Amino acid sequence: MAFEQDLLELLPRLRRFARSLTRNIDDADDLCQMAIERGLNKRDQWQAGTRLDSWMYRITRNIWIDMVRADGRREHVANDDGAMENVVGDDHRRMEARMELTDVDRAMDRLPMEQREAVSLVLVEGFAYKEAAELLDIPMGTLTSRLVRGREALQRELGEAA
Amino acid sequence: MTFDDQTIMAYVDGECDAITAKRLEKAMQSDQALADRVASEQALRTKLAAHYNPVAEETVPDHLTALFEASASNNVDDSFAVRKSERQDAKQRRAGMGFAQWGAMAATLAIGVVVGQFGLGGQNDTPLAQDGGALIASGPLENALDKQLASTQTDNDEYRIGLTFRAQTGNICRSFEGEALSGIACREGSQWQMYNMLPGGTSADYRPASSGEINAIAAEMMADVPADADAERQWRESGWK
Repeated sequence: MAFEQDLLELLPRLRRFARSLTRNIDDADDLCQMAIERGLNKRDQWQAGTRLDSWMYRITRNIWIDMVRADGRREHVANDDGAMENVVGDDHRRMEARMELTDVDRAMDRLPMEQREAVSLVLVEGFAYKEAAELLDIPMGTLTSRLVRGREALQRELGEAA
Repeated sequence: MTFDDQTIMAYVDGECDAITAKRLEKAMQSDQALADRVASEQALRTKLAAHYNPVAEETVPDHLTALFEASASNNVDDSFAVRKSERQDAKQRRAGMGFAQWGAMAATLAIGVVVGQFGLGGQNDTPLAQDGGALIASGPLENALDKQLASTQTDNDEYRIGLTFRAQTGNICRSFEGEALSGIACREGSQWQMYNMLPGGTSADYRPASSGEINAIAAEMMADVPADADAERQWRESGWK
């Protein structure tokens, strides 16, 4: 069916998006799997003629938020005043030891969720500001201020090396 | 001129309006610190792309594609390749018509609308006249283009001058916005020749031109950045030469 073929074509991009949100290969593919299943199950809710990619990115992003909240790996306290989220220490350190994290993974992982998803959609996935703001259901101004702050943090971590 | 982080970011992300982009590029030529800030934002984008793009090149794991197999085997669809090539054809058709062609079409349409609306009398109160086949500013529009400065104009002026700039052709051009007519006129000898026209706000059947559209066209034409208030005044004093 057309829907499935189009969704299949999207998979490489969805995996990239998932990787930038989760930084962890296993989590990313779990996230993708759940997103695909949900997308296939809810295909009746997708309106033909609208962008399938935006629809699937939104699904992926919503599942990711559920995952993060459910597994308690993070206490999510990020807000638009730039407060950083608390990372629950032990689990995080264990994961860092297990994974061979690059500096980019680490810097992205330290971003509050709101900033990470904005950076990911615009800088990695190449969405226009307007598209990203619509996808996240936030005003443009909120998106751009999250982008500015996310970039500042990434520059602090990666700046000279970038 | 200073540029805040948001503007630099928008420039690097390709979200900056054309005029701001021009100004920023010009400023970067003499402001090394600014050029470094832009370069470091570009480097960040490159770094993220280099890190994440390979993921999209990887073979998708079987357990993910397997999710599709059940439904795909039940619904074999051989029209996919056809649709894909149709989409590509459509994309190429869209891409084939460039800015200039769209611009020309829009201008032609607008000229029809505008001329229909005003006539071409060259009377004192009409903004347009014809001279040897060229469409030139006349009456109140000519007056505004000749005399009005963007830095001193008021809301009561019939036409508002937007940007004044030297085009790549060497001519001085000015963008203007009026209630019924907006556009760009360029100096030819002692006249203002219409380069581009779009209906203004009072035409019910056509969407009024936004200053963003006109600015984008102006940005394409410019040899350099737009004139500031001093340059605009000097150009006026020297008869827009």
